[in-house]
Amino acid sequence: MALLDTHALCKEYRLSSGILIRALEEVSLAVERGSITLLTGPSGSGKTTLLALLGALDRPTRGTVRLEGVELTRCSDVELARVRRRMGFVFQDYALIPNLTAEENITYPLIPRRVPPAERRQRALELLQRFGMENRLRVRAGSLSGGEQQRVAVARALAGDPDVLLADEPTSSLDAETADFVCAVFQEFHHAGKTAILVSHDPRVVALATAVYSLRNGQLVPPPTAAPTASA
Amino acid sequence: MLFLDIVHTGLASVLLHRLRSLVCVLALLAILLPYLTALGLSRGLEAEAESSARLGADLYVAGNQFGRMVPLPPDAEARVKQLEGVTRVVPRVVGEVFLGKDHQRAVLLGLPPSQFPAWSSTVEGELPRSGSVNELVIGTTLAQRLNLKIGSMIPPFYQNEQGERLSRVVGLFKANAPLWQANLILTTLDTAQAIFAQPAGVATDLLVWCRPGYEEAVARSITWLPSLGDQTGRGPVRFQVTTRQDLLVLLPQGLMHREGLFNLHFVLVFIIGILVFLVVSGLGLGERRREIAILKAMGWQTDQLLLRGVVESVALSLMGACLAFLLAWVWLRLLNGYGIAGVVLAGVGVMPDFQVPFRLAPIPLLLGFVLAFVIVGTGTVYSSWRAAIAPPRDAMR
Ligand SMILES: Nc1ncnc2c1ncn2[C@@H]1O[C@H](COP(=O)(O)OP(=O)(O)OP(=O)(O)O)[C@@H](O)[C@H]1O
Ligand SMILES: [Mg+2]
Repeated sequence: MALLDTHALCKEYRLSSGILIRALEEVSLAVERGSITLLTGPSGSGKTTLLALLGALDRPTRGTVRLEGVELTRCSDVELARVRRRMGFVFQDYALIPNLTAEENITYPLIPRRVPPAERRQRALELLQRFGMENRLRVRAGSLSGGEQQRVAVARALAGDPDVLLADEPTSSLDAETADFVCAVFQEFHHAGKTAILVSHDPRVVALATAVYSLRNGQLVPPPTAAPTASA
Repeated sequence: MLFLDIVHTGLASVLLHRLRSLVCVLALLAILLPYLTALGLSRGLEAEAESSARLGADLYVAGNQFGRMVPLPPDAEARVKQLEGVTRVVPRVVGEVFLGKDHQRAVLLGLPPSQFPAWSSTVEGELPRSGSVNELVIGTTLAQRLNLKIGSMIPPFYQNEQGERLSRVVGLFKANAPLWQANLILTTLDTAQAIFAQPAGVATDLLVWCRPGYEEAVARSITWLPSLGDQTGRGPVRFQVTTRQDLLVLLPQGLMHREGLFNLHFVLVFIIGILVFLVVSGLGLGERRREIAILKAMGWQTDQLLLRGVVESVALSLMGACLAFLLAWVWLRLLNGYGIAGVVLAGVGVMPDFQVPFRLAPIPLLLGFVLAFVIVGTGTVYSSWRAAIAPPRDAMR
């Protein structure tokens, strides 16, 4: 059984002007355990929308999303929170809490995961060290540069030791060297047998993919293909 | 452990949303400070009046003619004294006089010199004696307004058929004396009788002390005493008794005569309360919504986010209530109730010229905290809850 799968997934937005936007239409796909699944497509094609639905951050208008066969739309609030604690999310706009420090941004998600305080700080320190940001530990996230915020966002997603990593353009603000490093981290994550779902146009990230889904106007095109450059 | 961690993040969020916290605490101060100060003041007055009533006589006996209070004729004292259970009877004369060119109102109290009560120890100088010159002890407010010192002479301030006499100030009440002396003139019974042109032996009322347990019986026997002779040609004078219990019951109502103030304040509390509510739920709402949505996306549960909001509200309310309590103390103790004393106490200016009595009890503090928490808590928890039940992606936009 696939780790995550969707069936005839639709997401519509109705604007206040009455216009109906079909962000996703009839999307059916499967994300295999241990894969690196890449979502591609032009801007506005629904990649972020799909990622949010896969990560239990949004409710579909129609269709289903299942995690290990369990339908997410049928889950209670507490069960959804438990699902989210198995995931790590890197948002396209980083979504750090600007008034918290880089360290706190990483440790806050660990609180409901019942990680003890000392270990929380230890993990934050180690991750920021890996990303070359140990001197930014106590800096307000809001005053970090875009690239720094993106690295903190990746560190935050990995801190909870997730089963599934969902990352939306995780290298968009990084220089080549740092992007390479982040790709290496993803590769390592993959080698640990874990699952990643990535949205990216960055060739370095694309090269990691073991499966690719292309979106256009909210629809999958063409039907699922194996990635030509499977490197694992 | 998880609980404590969440509590910790709740406390941290007070600092995280500095502007909101500041506005919140200031608004709470605007509500709680006048409330605690006015309440402290009126409680202080109540306590002072009550303690003087407790120290006072068991029964207060006055004359009543046609339902009006009149002085008691000289034989009244002897007739009360011989009743079973009576241990002590002190006649006194109480009346209103006007002093100085501004006609400063004052209460003149005359007691037999042997019967000056315990509070005469709060007098600086000497106690009055009977003699050819009226010797007076003057209350603090009066002394200040009329610029009187020990040894000052006062020209006659009354007229009567037996002729007027000079008065001399022999004593002043100390600044820390209870409030009721502020406009008081204490003198001997004889002098008071002379000032009011009453025959010797006439008293406006009698203070009666009884053997323990006899108070009610004595009160009853006094009301059953035959009416006193018709001395004025206006009919007999009957005895009228007020017990200490009656006084204590009357006190709270008597002192809350500015109830309107409290009602006004409740309206204010209501209006400001709604404002605080709006501020709390509205200020930085977008930012808070996003913050909650992010935490939710990171695996926080709704109940954990609500707990965080509750802790933040408790912290803010506690800060508001404690700060209000502290400032109320400063206002009453160090600023001597500047401004507010005149609102609560009749006949007192903006700056009271005596030490205002006050009592800041923990109960109003607790009430203030609860009120603050209800306002801040509903605002915070409601907005947190709204953000927490939405799918994170919706609330993050
Ligand atoms: N909350 C919303 N309300 C209305 N329309 C929305 C909303 N969210 C997304 N959309 C629309 O849905 C479509 C898909 O958006 P989405 O963010 O998924 O695109 P994307 O593929 O991630 O684009 P990009 O590469 O630019 O990030 C877009 O047309 C967008 O305008
Ligand atoms: Mg996107």
